[in-house]
Amino acid sequence: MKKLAPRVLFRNLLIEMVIYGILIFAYYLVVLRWLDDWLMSLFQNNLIFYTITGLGLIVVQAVFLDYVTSLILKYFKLDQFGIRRILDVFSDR
Amino acid sequence: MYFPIADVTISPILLMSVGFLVGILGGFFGVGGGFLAGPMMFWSGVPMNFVIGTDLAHMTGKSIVAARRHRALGHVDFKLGMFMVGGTIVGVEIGARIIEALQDSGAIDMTIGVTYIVILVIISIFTGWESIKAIQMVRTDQIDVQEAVGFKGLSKKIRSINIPPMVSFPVSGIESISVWMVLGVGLFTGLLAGSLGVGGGFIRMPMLVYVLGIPTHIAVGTDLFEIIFSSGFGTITHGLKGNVDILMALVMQTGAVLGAQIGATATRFFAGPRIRLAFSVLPLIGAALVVVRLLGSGMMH
Repeated sequence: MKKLAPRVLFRNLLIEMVIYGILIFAYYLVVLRWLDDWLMSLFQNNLIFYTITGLGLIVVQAVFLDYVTSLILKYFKLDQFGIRRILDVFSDR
Repeated sequence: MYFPIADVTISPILLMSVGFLVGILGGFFGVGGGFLAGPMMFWSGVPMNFVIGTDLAHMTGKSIVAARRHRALGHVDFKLGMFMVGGTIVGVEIGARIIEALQDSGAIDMTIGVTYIVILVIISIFTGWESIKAIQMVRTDQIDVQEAVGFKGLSKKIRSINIPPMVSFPVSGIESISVWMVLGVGLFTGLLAGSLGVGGGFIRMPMLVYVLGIPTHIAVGTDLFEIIFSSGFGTITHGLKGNVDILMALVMQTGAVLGAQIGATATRFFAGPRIRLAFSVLPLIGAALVVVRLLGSGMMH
């Protein structure tokens, strides 16, 4: 397997982090802030519905974010030079 | 950021960083990372009952992602995981009721804090000792790791206990074992999950390797699969008791997803004993954080 310089590998990891960070910041502003009051109201008024909704949100968000991170890696072709290659370099040392 | 359900103000970046760190641990070591996330949340000022419930909630989603990745690598024994679930769920419920009783008595922080410290130190010493010995002996004699540290005999004895019904787990290389042994591992680790807010992986993973004699990489994947159920059920039972701040869990999870990807990929590059040696340091960090919080709040004076 062709090896890349650690500098390039870290650059690609950084790109992944920045793209993901921007998306997460937008997600905070659009989704989580909106959920704040609604979840508090559910917590105070209907604990059963709050629990079921909470578990559902956690599962949906996990699968969605996993899909997003995989998409970032593929779309920007970072999967070829990113995390896996960084681990390749360190495992050889 | 103010979290009204738990009634605390914490930086979302700190929560996301905690999630990222335990995401790497989850993917790499096959543990939920609750043994480290819990002390970190407690240290940052979250009440202990919310630490336990919220930690379990965030781990549910994270373990789904990590288990999916390990399934793709062929590291999950689904049959073994499903058998353990029975014991796990009973254990989680017992643990959750213990927490409720401690919450009512007002002794929850001190009791759970000290329990955390004792368990984490024991796990750290044991795993560190075992993995160093295994690395040294395998390197010099080229013999099987479990045989080198004397645990092959233990797992053989466990497998020879003939209390029906007996069951086989071909993926894990187990020809025959009493179902009660498997349920026992599930019950014990479920109890830890329900009472400490951890997935139970930091004890289940060593138990799968040493007690049941399962290869480390299968233990990692199967443990993550099991955490889906232990933390999922724990979220429900603690949620119904008002111990879960879902918003906080959602924020933590945004970091955990990225960390889990890195961690799962990293397991390909390290051998079993080396994974366990790296793992042995982590519980001490969790124990130190609990000590700092207890000292800071004056509970240990």
